[in-house]
Amino acid sequence: MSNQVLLETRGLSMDFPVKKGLFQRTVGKVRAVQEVDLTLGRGQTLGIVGESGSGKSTLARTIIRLLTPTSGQILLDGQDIGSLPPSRIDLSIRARMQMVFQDPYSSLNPRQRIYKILEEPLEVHQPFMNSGQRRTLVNEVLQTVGLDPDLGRRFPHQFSGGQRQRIAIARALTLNPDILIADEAVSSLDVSIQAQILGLFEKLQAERGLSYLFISHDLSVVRHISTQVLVMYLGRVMETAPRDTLFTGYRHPYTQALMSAVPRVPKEGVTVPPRILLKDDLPDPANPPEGCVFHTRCVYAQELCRKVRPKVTEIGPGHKIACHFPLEG
Amino acid sequence: MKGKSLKITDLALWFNADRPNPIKAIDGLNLEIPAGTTLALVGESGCGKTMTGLSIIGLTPAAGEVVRGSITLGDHEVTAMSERELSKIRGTEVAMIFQEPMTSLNPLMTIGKQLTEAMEVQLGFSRSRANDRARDLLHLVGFANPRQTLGDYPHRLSGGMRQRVMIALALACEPSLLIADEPTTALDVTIQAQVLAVLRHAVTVTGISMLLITHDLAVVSNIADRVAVMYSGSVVENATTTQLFADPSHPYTRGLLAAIPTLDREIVPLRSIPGGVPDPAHLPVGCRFAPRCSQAFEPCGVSFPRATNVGTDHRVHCFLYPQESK
Repeated sequence: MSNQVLLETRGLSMDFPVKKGLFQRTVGKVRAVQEVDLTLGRGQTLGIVGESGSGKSTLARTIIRLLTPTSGQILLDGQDIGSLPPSRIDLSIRARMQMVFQDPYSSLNPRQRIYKILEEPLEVHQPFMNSGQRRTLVNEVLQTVGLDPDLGRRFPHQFSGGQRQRIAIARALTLNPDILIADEAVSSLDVSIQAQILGLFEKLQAERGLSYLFISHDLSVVRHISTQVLVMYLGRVMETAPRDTLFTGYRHPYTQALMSAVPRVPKEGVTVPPRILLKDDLPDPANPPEGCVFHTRCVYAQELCRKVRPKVTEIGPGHKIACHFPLEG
Repeated sequence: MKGKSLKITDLALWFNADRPNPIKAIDGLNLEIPAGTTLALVGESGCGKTMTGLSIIGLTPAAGEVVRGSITLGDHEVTAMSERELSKIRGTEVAMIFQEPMTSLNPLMTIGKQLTEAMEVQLGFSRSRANDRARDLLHLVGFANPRQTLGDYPHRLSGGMRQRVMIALALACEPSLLIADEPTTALDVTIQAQVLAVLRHAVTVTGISMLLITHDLAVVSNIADRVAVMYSGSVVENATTTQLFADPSHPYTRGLLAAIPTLDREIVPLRSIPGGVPDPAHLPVGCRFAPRCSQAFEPCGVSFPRATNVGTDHRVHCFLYPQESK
């Protein structure tokens, strides 16, 4: 395991203004991401879990600088790309981080042939490459993701969901990035196909030393692929730990509730922990609760939790938690 | 309210049945739900799960045609019913919950209106009687303040709340069979757990039969009495829930279970099933899973395997098990 840090965020926050009325006055803000610190090591996978509305996708879009953060730093190899204006995010930074989206049906242009879809990033980023070189590279990438290069002449509608997701991964790979951000990349796939694509992610990581930010609402998938896991709730980090620590020694009540809600495939000799049913839904992120953001649904909440927001504190190697009353370790 | 039994025998639902290469969405489906029990129908997209649900309630798209087989609900033969007869049993005998709680409710009507309308039309209830029952139903599906919810419009409710309203709506006219088609797929895990608990509670209290359609094997484990695994338009394995997880027998079921990452198993590379589901317009001859099956041998490409008993109340369609002569 290498401990080399590739990507780091410090106090990263992203607010969206809420506008209202004829003059679109700003009447408030949705705090989508709040003071997130994370670290991604080279060749590692950071899994980010949370319910919808927890800010996972906004975090990804901010890190890849599709959005300009409200505050905080994004350090890529030590260089702060968080404070650069969008115009100064040059191609060399873009090429290092690429994204794979959830829906392989809407993320590929239906009017372009696969070959064109994969070639386009090269035309933009490698203007001196001639068409022959581009062709060789595209064919290589198609083979890497397990598709026959001859399929490059086809259109997206001629492929199944799993194949399209392979194409989306191939497109992300053409620029040979260091970091791949997978935003629910296997969530819309059937289990047998999901296993194929997860296998592909693992193979690519082993062969190319890629680092992943792997965003998913599915804890089982995250457990399978991650080296480090980050649990988010209402824009904030609740708990982060190395994979095995998080799944066997979680200390945050939210992590506990999330784990207990996952439907289990019955297995002999495994006793499933009692289910903790969370009340209600996620509070409105435009109007987050005072104190600990989770206190409205937490079964252990006390007076302190309603008033004071817990700080993120380190309780073990790589294990951080934001809670006044952590569960017994 | 009391559940009725459902029996589907050799059902075939084809699209473009009069043209060459009809699309065989369902072909040779056998299924049985004893009264008052829950059966989970599990399979991947495109295997015909949803079409099975729709054909029970008589809502298959116009291009689809039942070319053979029967669906018996209690003493009704659904396949022989006219549209008029069907609309009488919808809601009162069989009701359905769909996957998308966002699009299944009318955004311009209050929850109360949507709940009571069905009862007034189908059961001839007076407004006040329907209102009383609507309140009871919302209470049953876990709303703390039903009176207020009755006056709310759907946009005021979250996804999980809407899906609970859908459950109440489905139960409104006292059906004897509830079809729940991926009722929790669009929801977050914590909300999924809430909704499943509500669904199980409602089914237990009312004693009705349920067909739970899902792609997620893990969801079925603590809600269904039996599980039927469907592949390419027919059932390949059918067992009690305990049996199925203790002794999965069809290579497809085993493949599915090995492909699911879990919270309990050691982390080993997932075994995926190679390839994809066959095109329903060109189903393979013989066992439809054979082209993807690592254990396929000669007989698999010749004819469709018959059901074999591999345990008490556990049937599997696979040539790996001795074929009983019939």
